[in-house]
Amino acid sequence: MSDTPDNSSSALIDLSHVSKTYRSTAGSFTALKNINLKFFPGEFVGVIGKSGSGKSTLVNMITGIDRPSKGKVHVDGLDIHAMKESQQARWRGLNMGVVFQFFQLLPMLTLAENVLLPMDFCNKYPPEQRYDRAMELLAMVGLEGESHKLPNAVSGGQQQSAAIARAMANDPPILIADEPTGNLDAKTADSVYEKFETLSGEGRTIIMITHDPEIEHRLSRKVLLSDGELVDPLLMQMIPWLPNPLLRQLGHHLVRRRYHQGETLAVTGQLSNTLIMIESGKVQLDFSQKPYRSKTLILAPGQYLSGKALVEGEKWGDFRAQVISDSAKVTLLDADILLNTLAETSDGLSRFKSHLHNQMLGVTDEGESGGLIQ
Amino acid sequence: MAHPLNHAQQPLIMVENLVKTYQTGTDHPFEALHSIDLTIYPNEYVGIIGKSGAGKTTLINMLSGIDQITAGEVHVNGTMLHSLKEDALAKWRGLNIGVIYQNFHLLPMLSLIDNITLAMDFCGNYQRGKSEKKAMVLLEQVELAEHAHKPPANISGGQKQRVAIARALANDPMVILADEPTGRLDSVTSETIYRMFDELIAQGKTILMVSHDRTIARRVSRVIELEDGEIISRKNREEEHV
Amino acid sequence: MRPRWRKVLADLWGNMARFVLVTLSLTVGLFSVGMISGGYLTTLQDMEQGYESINPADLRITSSEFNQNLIERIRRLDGVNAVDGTRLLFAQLQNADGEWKNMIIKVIPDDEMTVDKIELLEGQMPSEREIVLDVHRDVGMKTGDTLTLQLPSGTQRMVSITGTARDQTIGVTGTSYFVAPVYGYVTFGSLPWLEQSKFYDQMLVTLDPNLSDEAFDALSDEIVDHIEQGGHSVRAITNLRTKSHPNSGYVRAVSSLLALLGFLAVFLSGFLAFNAMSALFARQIQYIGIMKAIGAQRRTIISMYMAFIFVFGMIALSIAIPTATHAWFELEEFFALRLNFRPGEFRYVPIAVGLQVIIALILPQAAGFIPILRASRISVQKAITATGIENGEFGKGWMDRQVEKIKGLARPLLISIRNTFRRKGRLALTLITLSLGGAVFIATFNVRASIETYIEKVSEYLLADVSLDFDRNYRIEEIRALAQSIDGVQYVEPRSGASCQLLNEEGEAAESVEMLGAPPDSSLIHPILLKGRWVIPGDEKAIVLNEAFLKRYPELEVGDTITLYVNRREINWQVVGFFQFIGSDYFLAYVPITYLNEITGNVREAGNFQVVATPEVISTDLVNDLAKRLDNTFRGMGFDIRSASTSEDLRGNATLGLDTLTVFLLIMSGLTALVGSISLTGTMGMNVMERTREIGVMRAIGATDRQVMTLVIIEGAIIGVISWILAALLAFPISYLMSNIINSSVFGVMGEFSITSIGFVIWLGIVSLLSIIASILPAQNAARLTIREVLAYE
Repeated sequence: MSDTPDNSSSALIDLSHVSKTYRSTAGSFTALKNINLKFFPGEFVGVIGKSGSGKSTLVNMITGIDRPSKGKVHVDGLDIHAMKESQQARWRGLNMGVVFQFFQLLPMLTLAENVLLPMDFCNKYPPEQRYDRAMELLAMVGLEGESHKLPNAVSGGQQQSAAIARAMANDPPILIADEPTGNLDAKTADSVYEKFETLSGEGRTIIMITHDPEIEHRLSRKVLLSDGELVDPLLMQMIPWLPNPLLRQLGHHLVRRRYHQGETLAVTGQLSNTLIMIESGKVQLDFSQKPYRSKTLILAPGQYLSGKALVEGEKWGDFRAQVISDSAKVTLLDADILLNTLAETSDGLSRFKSHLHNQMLGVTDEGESGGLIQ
Repeated sequence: MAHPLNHAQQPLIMVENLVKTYQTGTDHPFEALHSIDLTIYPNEYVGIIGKSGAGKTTLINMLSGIDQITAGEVHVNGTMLHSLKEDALAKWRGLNIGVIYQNFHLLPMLSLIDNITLAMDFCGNYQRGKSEKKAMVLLEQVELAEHAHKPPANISGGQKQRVAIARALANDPMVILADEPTGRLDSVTSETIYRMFDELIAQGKTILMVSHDRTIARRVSRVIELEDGEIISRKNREEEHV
Repeated sequence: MRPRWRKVLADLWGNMARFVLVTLSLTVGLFSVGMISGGYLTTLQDMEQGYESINPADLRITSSEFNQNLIERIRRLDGVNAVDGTRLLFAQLQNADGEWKNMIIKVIPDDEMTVDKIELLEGQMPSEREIVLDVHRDVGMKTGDTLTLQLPSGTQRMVSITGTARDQTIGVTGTSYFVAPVYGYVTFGSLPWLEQSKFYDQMLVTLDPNLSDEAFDALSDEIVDHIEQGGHSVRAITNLRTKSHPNSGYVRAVSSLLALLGFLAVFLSGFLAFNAMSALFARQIQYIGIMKAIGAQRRTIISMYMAFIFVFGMIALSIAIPTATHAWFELEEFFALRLNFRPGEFRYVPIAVGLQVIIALILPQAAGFIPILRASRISVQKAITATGIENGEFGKGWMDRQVEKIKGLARPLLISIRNTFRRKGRLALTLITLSLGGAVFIATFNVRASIETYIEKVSEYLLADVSLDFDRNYRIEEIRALAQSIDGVQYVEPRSGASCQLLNEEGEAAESVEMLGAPPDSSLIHPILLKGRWVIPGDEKAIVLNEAFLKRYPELEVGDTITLYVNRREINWQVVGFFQFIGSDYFLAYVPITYLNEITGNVREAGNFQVVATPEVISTDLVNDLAKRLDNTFRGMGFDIRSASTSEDLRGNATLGLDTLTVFLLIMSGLTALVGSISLTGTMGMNVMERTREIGVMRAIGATDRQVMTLVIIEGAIIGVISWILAALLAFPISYLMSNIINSSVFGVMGEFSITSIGFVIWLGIVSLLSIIASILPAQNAARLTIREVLAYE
């Protein structure tokens, strides 16, 4: 699990206080609630959440396909919703490649012509270069032999590959993919994902909406939406198996704090009834009493500790927690709130207990494809 | 909510070597289901999970007769679906299966109550007056009786799905097939729907629910997982927690 | 009501726009059927009946002077129904603008008219020194006004107009209805007041309608004998027994044209309805899927939609029946006014109504059958889960492969071209409706050109600038000298005329022939020769006959001899040629003037003079001025002059009648063109609507509004261009057909067929404009939709 990026460097895509409410005769429905989110150049980010969580809406805010009711979206410093739709279309054609779930290739054009189309619209490349570039792109996705065929003459996976080639037509710095593997079988999905990884490796920023648990695991950064709100990634990292609504609830109670090197966390005092989650930096635990007397445990980002035993059977004993890196950022969560929330699930408490247990043993928890995202 | 499997009963649904192939117009036809075997007993609450494209919707379309079987056999309550043609299947379906979809699929030009009586009409169960009364009873069950004469456009998504449930019950079918019933609903509304399904189970109905939300596993009595057209696991909740 | 019918009803009212479109399409077809069949059945009938009611003459006998006594004697003959005497006088009247216009005064009996009756439309029949005017030419004077007449001698008389009447016999013989001047009716007793002696010179007789042809001929011989025995000489006898209303040809022409157009309209209507219903059912596909999912069988669905369109048919029918009937009677009144007949009473024609009902039952079902069948067959799966871009019928088929071969053009243009051919069925229908409309439109101009060409050619017989018409013959030299003394006159040519009769094998008078004598070397006649040659200097008994002879006596050949009874002498003439003139049953012959004058005893005399003006007299105004000066001069010198008419006058009048037809044609073609453009708009709208998703995708990948609009507009333009080409091609056979119908109905000949470029050019402009407009609206709509609305399938 990699670090969450440093918030101080400049973001390529910046959503600030973005909300979206739809009004209809059946009342109003808020799809996005006060989203604050940044994407940095070169990231490969997954946007996950179940149907209706707002992930497509969120991504539509970024591509400009939809407009926020409140808030702003800046891409490379540009307020994209201040533009008129027509201008936006042109901007998007040059700066964003979009890959749709249902491919959306124009059925009356061959694959090559589909790839050529964005170049025709945006005029970035002179006409004489376009055809060769299109063939290169198709070769990149393994379709140079099919370039003259119409979309309905090739398989779904091939259509999706062609769609990726089309998205790359104007060499955009940003690629947006909406469930690109949603309609493909496992093997093809895999190869499509690999193509994205390659493109990401070339320095592009890729934002991908996905449902697919297999893919989720391979993403370096995940943004989770649940009922229109971002769920804290840290929580998501640590208790991924908790259902989204509960994660969201917990998210409202988080407090962030920064410590400097050498500072001690008040695990016996103020923070005794708190779950402390480490976001960045390193914290060393020195145990003075049983059961872990004279033992030392260094906690890294993603791990957590608590002042006193949070669940039955848990034994922290007496210990001191000190920051040993230059600085550390932690997220604090009231233990009672956490426990009450865990109690709402049928097995949350027991799982949490076993996680704590494993952590104490120095074993990290991984590999479970939980019921976290669907 | 666990229901013990009662093997003493006769199976309600039996699927043997079911294959479904689509002709897609490209060189290779697409086999969506490869030789499925399945047995479902009365009053079971079954969740069918799997990724997009795994074949979940295809499978229940075979069971409801909405789509034609390519090979294999499907027996539902004694009827051999594989031997019926489209029109006969439609009629049979109206009487025996209640369908519920992610997109609700209510007819927008009819009122809520007319949506329900229409389902009765198509199955030859319509009697003026009596049918309207029955439809009102169903609407009361889903707590929407006060909106009976409104068109679907005037109610929320969750409410629409409740009407869809009422419509699915219009002809007293034995089986309810639900394809991603909470797909377009928020978590709170989804809960309401699940609770209604629980009630239907209590009333003795059999429910097959498709979802790609794996957490439904804790609601249903049995989970069948599909991947690339095959069943890869059939776990009972009880078995899982051994 | 059963829920399924509630759905049908809800569907009917659900989408007003579409409801109106389908109903309108069907109404167009039903309306056309009703209007045309009703009109076809009634108008000619009404015209005939109206004509019968005036008791038209069976025989028109011109003789030397006679009076009431002779009339009484003829009346008493067995088999004779009615007899009236009449006489035609030439004069001029002063119209409301103070201009002098030619008129013909027809003398009517002091008591009641019994033959060739005029219908009083306003006021009262005239007493002595009073006059009733006919309505066919408007002189701006009303009943009760005082009219100033100028007699040939120059004397002016003031006369009170007691009424206006319709005289359906104008144009039966002699000059055509359109060319005829205004008629005025005075009583026999007024003759002295008009400086005339009290006598009749024409007898109008109706005989027992049940007489056989032989009996009829025998009786007319008997009458002629009686007249001659009384000491009078019969100059001409015309058999009008088989004649119908003089303008029935026009009505026949109009009816036939309408039948042709009506036929087209029914098809157009069917296509339109098909298109509209396809759109309707496209929307219904989703609902059909749902209904099937909840248990509806295919036959239930089919019956629901058949009922649905049945209702449309009935609504269209209820609109079409009254509107069509009213429309036709409006039209009939329009024609009655212009073509001088009595319009019938408004009534519903059972056959027409019945036809409309039948078509209302068949047409919508026929138009809707295929879309319903197609829609009902759609799989539940497809119907419910419509998410990706619809492929249409792409990739297969010969046409697609041809279209695919079009490469090398700008890609957006390629998209437009290929899109155009995507829905081939719909494209075909649109092209058919638009092209048919266009072809008819273009044909109208061609037909008009044909008619004008024909009239041009016919006026080649009247190449002079002014035609001087006298009441009696004068010495040629005298007139010539006087005329040439007038400023502006270059050259004067005499014309003689005589009424004569064609004799049959038994030597009996069979047909009336109008004989014209002209100098053989006249430069003022450019005849349209059908066979043989014109008269040349040196000819004596040579005769050139018009097309009526060819029609009636097909065995007649150049070189044959025919016998004509001229001036009470039987003369044999040698047929040297046949020429084409105007008017089908009207016998006309040209002979050398000197010979004719010898026969008639009017040597070196003539009654008509053709005047050619000097080159300086070039404008219409100058020619009119010349005509006036000629008139004044001769009148002032005491000559009995009837009129000095310019050839423009004469030609202009001929075109008048045909203007009516042209206006009518333009209206009809305008309507067909309108139907075609509705079809185009509908098609473009549907095309765009179905491809909103694609448009969304294009905008997602960088297309600006303008680029999107250009694509759609080009598509519309392509359809427009293709349809123009088709229309241009179709215009040829349609023009040919229409020209022939008019020519044979009106002129009795398969006339000239010309093509003019005007229609083609105007239609190109119209169809281009139409296709652009028809594309802009949906294109703007498409561009305005936000991408989210369009791509939203979540």
